[in-house]
Order: sequence, then C-alpha cells, then structure tokens
Amino acid sequence: MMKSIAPVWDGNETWLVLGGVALLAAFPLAFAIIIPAVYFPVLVMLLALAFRGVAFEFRFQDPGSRAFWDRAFHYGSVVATFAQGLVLGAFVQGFRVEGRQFAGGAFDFLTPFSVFVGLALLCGYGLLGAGWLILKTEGALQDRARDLGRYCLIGVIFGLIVVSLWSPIIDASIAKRWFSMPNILFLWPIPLVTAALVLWEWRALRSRAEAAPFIVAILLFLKSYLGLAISLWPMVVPFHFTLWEAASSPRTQAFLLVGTLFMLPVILMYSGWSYWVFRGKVRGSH
Amino acid sequence: MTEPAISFVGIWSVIIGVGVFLYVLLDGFDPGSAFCMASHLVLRTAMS
Repeated sequence: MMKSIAPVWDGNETWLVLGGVALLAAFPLAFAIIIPAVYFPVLVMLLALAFRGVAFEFRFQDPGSRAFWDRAFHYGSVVATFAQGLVLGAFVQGFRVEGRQFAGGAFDFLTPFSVFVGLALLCGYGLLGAGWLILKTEGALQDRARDLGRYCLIGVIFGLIVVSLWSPIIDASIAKRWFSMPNILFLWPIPLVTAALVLWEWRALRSRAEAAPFIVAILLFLKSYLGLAISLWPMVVPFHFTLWEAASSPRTQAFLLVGTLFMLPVILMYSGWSYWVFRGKVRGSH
Repeated sequence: MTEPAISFVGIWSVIIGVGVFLYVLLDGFDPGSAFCMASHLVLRTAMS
C-alpha cells in the first residue's frame, strides 16, 4: 500500500498551497472571513499532514519500528481527512459575519453537520483509496480493498442522502436553488445520475474490474462537487458575499494571473508526468 | 494606472475551483488508502 502512494503523495500538497495563496490574492475578503472561522481544523489538518510526512520518512529510516510508523501514518491520514470534512461542513453551513469580518467563535465550526460531513468525507476518501488500491495492487490486498470499498460506498450513500436532505434545511437559498421553478426542471437528472453512479460503483467493486472502481469514485466526487457548487453559487462566503463582492481589484487579479498561467501548466505537467512514470501495478511488501 | 476593462473573477473562480477539486481528488486517495488500511488494522485488532 505504501509503495502505491510513495511516488505521488507529497506532490499533491502543491494544490493546497496554490489554493490557499490564490484565495488570499484573488478573494482576500473570503480568505479574511473563512480562515479565522476554521483556524482550529485547518491547524489540526496541517499538523496531521506534517505528522504523516514524518511518519512516512521514518518508516524507511527506522525499519525496526516500521509497524509503529505505519500506524502513525494511517491514523494521521484519518485525522487530516476528518479535519478537512470539518472545514467543508463549516463552509457549507456558513459563518457569522458582521460587516466584513468573521464575528463567530473559535469553535463555531463544530456542529453536528460539520462532524457528519467529516465522517462522510472519511467514507468518501476511503472509497477513493480503495479504488486506488484496486488499480495499483493485486492479490490479497486488492481483494481486501474491494471489501473495504463496499463498506465505504455504503457510508458514501448514507452521507450523500443525509447531506442532500440536511443542506436545504441549513439555508433557504439552497432549498430555493434546488426545488424552485424553473431550476427543478434542469436539476432533476442530478439525483438520477448519482444513483446510476452508485449502482455502477457497487457493480464495479463486486466484479473483477480494476480501473472502474477508481474512475467511478472520481465521477462520484465530481458530481458531489458540482452539487455543492450548484447549491452555493455564486457565494464564496456562504451566505454573505458573492465571488464578485469578495474579489480583489481587477489589476491585482490580472497581475497574479500572469504568474499563475506560467506556473499552472508546470504543476500540471510534473504531476501528470509523475503519475505516468509510476503507472501500473506495484509489487513487494513495503 | 487604469483598471483593466475586463473582470478576472470568472477565471480565478475556475482556477480555484479546479485546484480545490484536484487537491481533494489527488490528496483524497492516499489518506483514503491509509484509512482503508487503518480500518483493516482496527478490525484485525478487534477480532484478535
């Protein structure tokens, strides 16, 4: 398992840095409100990510304690994922804002909804991870990933249903977005597409398919992401400021865009290249 | 210096939107893999 993620896992953090910097530069008002509201889970997530990095290196440097570092890596991953879910849940439920500042408390993020989203994201990442392991491994580990993937999919189904029912209750604008005319005429296929993807994923996990579980899990994530965007659009600070209201000046955005348009292709190329170089099955016990 | 005539909000929305999705996707499967193994470890410990 560790060999399947070793070549690529640390490069992914580039996107975290890019997202944070881009939010600060392009939408400073959103950054100024959202980050203070989620300081605690973001701090926990960053510590867990750092802890994962340390554990990952030490498992190679200290073979005698490999089992300990493996556990540290695994549980650090769980904490980082749960913290990301807390941030996502806090974002969807919105923030207390007065004027142009966050006016809530340090633990406002901690609600039943955000905790539920954290648990649902664990199942979601578990499903993606199971798909990845099915794609990259073989034999007993692959079979175990199929079993775990089915459990995670059940959690994802439960999570999708509960969040879909819960989020329209959080704010009337979400209910209006999905259930008012004429929106409902355009949006009704989305639950059907979700059900079809879930069914496809279930069948893929029960078959001997190797790529389908990962690809369909990606499609499920994409669909969920689009659903979230539909619910909140055009808000960047739900339910207070739109993207345009929170944006920096056009001159600032234009200046940053020049550098970003040079950097983005480079990041995409080296990320794609690393996945291409390490394509195929991994073999060996470590 | 005058402000540019066009708005870049749409472009930046796409950049951040795609960036966040790629982060979730690419950084999702590796803790996800670890979560799978952590679940396995918990189950194995509980059953032994």
